[in-house]
Amino acid sequence: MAVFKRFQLKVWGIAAIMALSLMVQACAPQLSPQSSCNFVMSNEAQRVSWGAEAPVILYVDSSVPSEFFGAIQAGVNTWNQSLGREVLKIGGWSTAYPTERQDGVNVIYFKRDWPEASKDKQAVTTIHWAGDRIFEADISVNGNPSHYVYFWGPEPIPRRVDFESLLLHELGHVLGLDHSEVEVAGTVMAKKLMDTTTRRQPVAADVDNLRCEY
Amino acid sequence: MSLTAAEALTVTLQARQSIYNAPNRTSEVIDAALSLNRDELEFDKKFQIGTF
Repeated sequence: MAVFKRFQLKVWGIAAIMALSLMVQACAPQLSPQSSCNFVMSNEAQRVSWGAEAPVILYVDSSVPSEFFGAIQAGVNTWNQSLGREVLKIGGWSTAYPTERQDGVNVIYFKRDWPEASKDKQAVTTIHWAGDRIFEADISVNGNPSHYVYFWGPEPIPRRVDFESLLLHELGHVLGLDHSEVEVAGTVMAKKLMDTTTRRQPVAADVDNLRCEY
Repeated sequence: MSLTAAEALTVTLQARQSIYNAPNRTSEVIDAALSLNRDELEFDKKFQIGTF
């Protein structure tokens, strides 16, 4: 009897959710498609962003070398200053979320055990969204020293990748920007970053795109 | 009354939450409710940068 009651509860629970979802979908008006402004687009052709939830608070995992904390903060400051408002914020160091997973917390990782199969990738940023709102973003940097070595300072170092340029790019993804498919000279959202190249300031197109949402 | 997509989503998520908080909930009901909507409502995308 108890098993039957549990089964009934389960069926009613699922039925209620399905009915509500259908009602909500039926009530929702068709949205006009938005221009992308180089943002990730939802299935309803809406730009995907944090909207009113910004500023986005990011934590820096303890795996990130302390010498690069300044580069991360510089990337955050650059986007904030470019937009004239705080859209990103560093929450500090963290040891509480050592594994990258969907957990509702935005974290920057430095993975020294980056797999050989992905050795040509410097970083991966994952964003999670529902509707047209991002609710989580995580950045993982390839910290395997046999793949890439980084620098942060005024002068490029041969055979090293600029950590600030890399983070500025990834932080653009955190805000919802996609890779730049159109060849805009100097865009920080280009999908390749060669050794010693520095792209520490967004070009006007990058900022104009972000202004579509922030 | 009409709802925007964001409002519709909020209503659906609140419904999910109310089931989660229901006093007579069972883990099966919660799991079913969560899995039912997650695939339909939540998305993710990975961006890769490198020298490839």
